[in-house]
Amino acid sequence: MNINQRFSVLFLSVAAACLVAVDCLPGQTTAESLEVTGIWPEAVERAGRCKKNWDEVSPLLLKLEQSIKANDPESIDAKLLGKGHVAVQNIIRDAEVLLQMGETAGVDYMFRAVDAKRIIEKAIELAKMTDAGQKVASQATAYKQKSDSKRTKAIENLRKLLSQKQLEKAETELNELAADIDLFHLWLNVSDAQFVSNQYSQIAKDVRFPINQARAAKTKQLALELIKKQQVKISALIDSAVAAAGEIQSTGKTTIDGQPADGPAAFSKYLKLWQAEHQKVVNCLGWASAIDGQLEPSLQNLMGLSSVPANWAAVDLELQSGMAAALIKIIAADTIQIGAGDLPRVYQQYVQTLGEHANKIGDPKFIAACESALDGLAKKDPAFAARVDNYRKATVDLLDWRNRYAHTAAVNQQATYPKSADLIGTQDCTPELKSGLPTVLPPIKTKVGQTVSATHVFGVNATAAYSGLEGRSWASVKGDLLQQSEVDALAHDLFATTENPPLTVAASTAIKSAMNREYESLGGTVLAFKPEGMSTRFAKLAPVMSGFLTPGQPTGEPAKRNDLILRVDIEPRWLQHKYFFVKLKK
Amino acid sequence: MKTPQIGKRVWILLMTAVLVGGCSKEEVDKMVADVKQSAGDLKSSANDALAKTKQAAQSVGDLTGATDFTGSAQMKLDTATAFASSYIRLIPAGDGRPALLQIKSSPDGGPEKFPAFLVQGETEGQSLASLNGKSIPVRVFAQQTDKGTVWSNVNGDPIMITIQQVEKRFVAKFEQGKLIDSVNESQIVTDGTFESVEF
Repeated sequence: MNINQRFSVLFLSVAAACLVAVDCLPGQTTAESLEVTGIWPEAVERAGRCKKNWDEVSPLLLKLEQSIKANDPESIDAKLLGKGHVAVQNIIRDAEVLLQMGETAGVDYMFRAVDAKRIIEKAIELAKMTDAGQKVASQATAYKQKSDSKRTKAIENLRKLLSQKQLEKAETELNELAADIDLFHLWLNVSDAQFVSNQYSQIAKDVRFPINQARAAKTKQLALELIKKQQVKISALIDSAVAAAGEIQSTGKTTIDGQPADGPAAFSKYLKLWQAEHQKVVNCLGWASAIDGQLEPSLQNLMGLSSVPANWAAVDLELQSGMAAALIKIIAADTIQIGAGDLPRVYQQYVQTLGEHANKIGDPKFIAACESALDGLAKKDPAFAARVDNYRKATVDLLDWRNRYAHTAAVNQQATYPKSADLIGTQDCTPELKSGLPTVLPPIKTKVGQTVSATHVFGVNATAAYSGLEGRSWASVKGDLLQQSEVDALAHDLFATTENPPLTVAASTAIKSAMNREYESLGGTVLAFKPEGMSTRFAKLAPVMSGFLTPGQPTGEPAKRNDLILRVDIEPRWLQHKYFFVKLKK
Repeated sequence: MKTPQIGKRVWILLMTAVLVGGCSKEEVDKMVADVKQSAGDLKSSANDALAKTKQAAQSVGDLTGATDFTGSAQMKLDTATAFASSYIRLIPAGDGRPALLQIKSSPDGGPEKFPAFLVQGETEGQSLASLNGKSIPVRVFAQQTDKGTVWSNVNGDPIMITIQQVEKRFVAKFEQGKLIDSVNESQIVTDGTFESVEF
């Protein structure tokens, strides 16, 4: 199936779902709208126009819905229906373009507008039974007759533009013609309405088909350009890290950004590059999802993959396994060449670097392999190895018991703080666009104010923190999660000072993670839910949120266009660090 | 006797070891661990298992001339709790770190058996013997079952423990120690005794 066919299928399936969902009326207005991915810069403007039209028409829709429910034709203001219909049809036209641009927002507005169109149609049917409605219907018939020739002329002009391949101009003029028809068309009797439809439908098809096709192709081209611009070069990065290990083994140094770098400096640099590359893979997954991008050869080539992985998770796992092996090689290379004098300093630098990044890397096997490699390094100096061993004896049990205390305390809380994925994962709350946001969100919003928990929490700074993606949700927390007294107590228990930093990766990670506001979980009250297109979230994931998806976590298949992720804004009540548990004061 | 099965196993194990050329302390330790495991497997109740373990260990002690290889401990948690073993050591100072007294229910690397505990505190002592008669501020952790609530004294509120050497054992005691329950957050004021063997 080529990309145009995919778009057609998506559009048709959205439209079909709307027809099936008879009871799927908006029910209420919503100020919520999805942020766009922006593969096309003009998608922002299109989505903005959809929102403006929706905000304008939704009060009318609410009134009409009440009138329909009450079967009260007299309460319908017939004069407003034509303009309302134009607004709704404008949303449909913009939403269709947004769909072609790879935007989840297009799915949302298409669902909303098709539902809204049905309300307007029903309202006009009812209004026709009133005197005021009959008056508008007569005016519509008169206008139809008066404007027949104008439409014929406009259609001739459109044919001319088509023959001149002026597709964009033709689309603009077609939309003007369509908006004019939308104003009166639904008021006509059956034969007149059929006449106008016949007039319009063929030229609409002839104009829209080629421009839609061109737009879909351009979307694919733009998405591939964005992927290319990310310069994900997995094999090249792994090769470079392996080469650095080789140089360190023979000379003790390598070169990074034109500067000489020793083992720990190279290790730190490549650990950061790994995380940056992982985040780029997630961005690429987002853009690829927007174009329903399987890992076709063009994508594989763009991303510099050494083999042909089956899916997106495999891409990230290739990066993970390659970089993990290369980084361990750097420690092993240093072990071979290091002199006794440098050993304690070098060992501690590795331990500090791992402590800083261990949680975001989120790969226990890699961390264990590093610890094993560092044991090998320490053993080159038996006296230093004995110091490390004593330090481990003095701290390992304490860490284990602190972990048990925090874990049991948190497990007890979690009984009344369900995971957000479980809170919203019920059938009526699935974050997926099977209809528009005004229908999808209300059942989800009933959970505002409930208690909820989230796992893998990372502080961004003193004002914000986020959790890793779990199921279809992630948590956003405002405020400073730093627990300084706990950091101090932990440092005291682990005998850590500036002069004598921790000598094990576990102890280093304990203190660094507490300082960096990294928590195993937190619980709190839901303040709000904010829907996001899944592909949009992936494409726009900022480097500061590199713990959002741990390596290997991206799903195997690209997100579907109607997949949503919910950002859950939480007011925290308790925090579970790996080694302490804190209840927060209000 | 109520525990012939355990006694017989120890006899067979030890006699085999002796007949094939004697055995080291490590080997005896392993046998003790094996016996304790057998005791745990045979009995469902924790107290019965503890009784068996102590008897088995005593049997080994009788044979080798030692009084006890594993020590024992008691602490009042929400109920009076007996711990099957208690090991003590002094981890020497280093890297700006003071020496550390450590008492725990399982040796390094062994599987944790429940009830379990850890007592740990900084000291200026140079050896366990030098701690005789001393009081030391410690952190205390205890748990009756895997995944059960954990009792501990809070940061900055150490429990004072006193050490007495009795032959080869070290008896550590505390009274009126405040422990917090990790699940219910309730506080208990309690005491504990740890008759420990060096490891």
